[in-house]
Amino acid sequence: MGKFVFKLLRPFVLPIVILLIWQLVYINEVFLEALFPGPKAVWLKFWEMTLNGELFIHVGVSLRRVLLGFLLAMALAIPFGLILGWYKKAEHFCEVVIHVGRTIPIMAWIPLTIMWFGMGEISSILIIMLGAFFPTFFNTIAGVREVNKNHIDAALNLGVKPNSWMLFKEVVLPSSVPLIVTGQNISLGYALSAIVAAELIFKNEGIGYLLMDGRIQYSFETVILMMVILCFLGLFLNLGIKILENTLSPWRYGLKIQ
Amino acid sequence: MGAFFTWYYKFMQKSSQILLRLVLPALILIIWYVLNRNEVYPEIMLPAPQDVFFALWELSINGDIFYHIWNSFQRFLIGYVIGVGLAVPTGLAIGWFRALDKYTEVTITFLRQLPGIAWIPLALLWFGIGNTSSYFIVGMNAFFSPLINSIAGVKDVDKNLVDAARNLGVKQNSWFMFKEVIFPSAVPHIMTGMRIALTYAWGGIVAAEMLAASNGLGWMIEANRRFHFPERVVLAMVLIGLCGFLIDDLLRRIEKYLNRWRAGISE
Repeated sequence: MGKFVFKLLRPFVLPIVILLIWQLVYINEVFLEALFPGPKAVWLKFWEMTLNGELFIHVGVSLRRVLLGFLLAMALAIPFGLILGWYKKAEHFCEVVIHVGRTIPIMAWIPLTIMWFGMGEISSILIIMLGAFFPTFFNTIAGVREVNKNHIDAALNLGVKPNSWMLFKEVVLPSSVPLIVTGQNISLGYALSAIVAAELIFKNEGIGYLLMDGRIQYSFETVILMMVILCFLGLFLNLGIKILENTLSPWRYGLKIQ
Repeated sequence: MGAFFTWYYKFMQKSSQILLRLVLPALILIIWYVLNRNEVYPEIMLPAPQDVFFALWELSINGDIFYHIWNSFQRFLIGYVIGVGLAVPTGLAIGWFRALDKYTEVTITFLRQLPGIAWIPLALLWFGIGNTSSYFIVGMNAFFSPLINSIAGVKDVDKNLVDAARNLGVKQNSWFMFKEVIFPSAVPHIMTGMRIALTYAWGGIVAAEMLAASNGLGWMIEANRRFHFPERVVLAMVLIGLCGFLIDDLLRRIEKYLNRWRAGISE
């Protein structure tokens, strides 16, 4: 029993130590108070923003953008990836454009989207789409390419025609699911990063706005609070993808145990 | 004569493959040119493709481009080296001492969710606009992937290798074991982490310069958007992509060189 409790509490030791050091540094005024607020100030800020509802509005805006952009990116990346993975010629056709597009960081697209669509909802969602597109796209292509050859041979032996819809639907698609979901996991991280980037520059609403607003108003509490909330948001979204992964490819864990 | 035909056939096959790859970029360039020529969109939204080349020419002659590239590159390099230099030893230590791993795992998983870009406001508050901010942001962007991969690298060492070394008389938890068995077999993991970090760090430097610097490629994009030089924005984007690609390629070669003894296994 004691061992169980110890194991359960072990992960919380480091955060508590960090909090304690933080508090000690704050109390002893190592840094100017204006430059280094204590943990309590962050907590009070959290309470204040929760009570006046500001937090929910901005987190909600960011979350809505992330989910919308992410879903749109998936709606493009997965079909395109499947097509380009299935038809090699199609991949050669798009290769140069894809690789040029991939090398440009998400941040670098922001000025261009501002020039085209202004600093609004469309730009934010477009930036998220660009960020979330590539990981899933490349993983989908890899997923189609790296189907176990034995599975294909087995299907062919059972009378499925090569290059047929049946082969694609019954063999290739299911076996590429795990890689696609892995790609989605990475995409989600990129989407979160993209929305912060976009909102830092657009400064209209959302978590990134609050971060930048905290910077402009010299409110460290807000900045640190938003960073903590981003961590939680990332964990929460990751959990969602994990659940999706388990429902879409349950057999995968059977393989892992071996 | 037969050899000639074989060669000719291969040549045609290869060139047709290359041609296939060039169709789409050429189409995009043509559409871009036609749209610009017919002034479908205002000049501020869609610069002419040839103007991008003229901008490249103009800025190379007065040296601006090299100045910005050099500044970005130097910030990137210092921040990246600091980030990776802190991450790899920490990761190796965490992987080597199992107890440490159990204590830190949750915290690391929590902290790595934070996008590197989210450090920018804090960096601006602490260090202001300047190089220190950029180093900090790049370092933060480059920190977590090598950290996690070094931990995984140490943990995933092939048990047979460790057993073999023990059979030959190496003590289980000795420095020798770490130096001769654990570290070499963790290198591929670490290199992968470093390459992922490279992408993040290069994205981070662009972000940092857009918000927290007064020169560099990121600044070039954001400032030229404000000054209404759309062709320079496009040029800067292309340069950022190109530099990122070249740096990644360089690291890929280093990785290949370091892993040359491994080829026998993976083939």
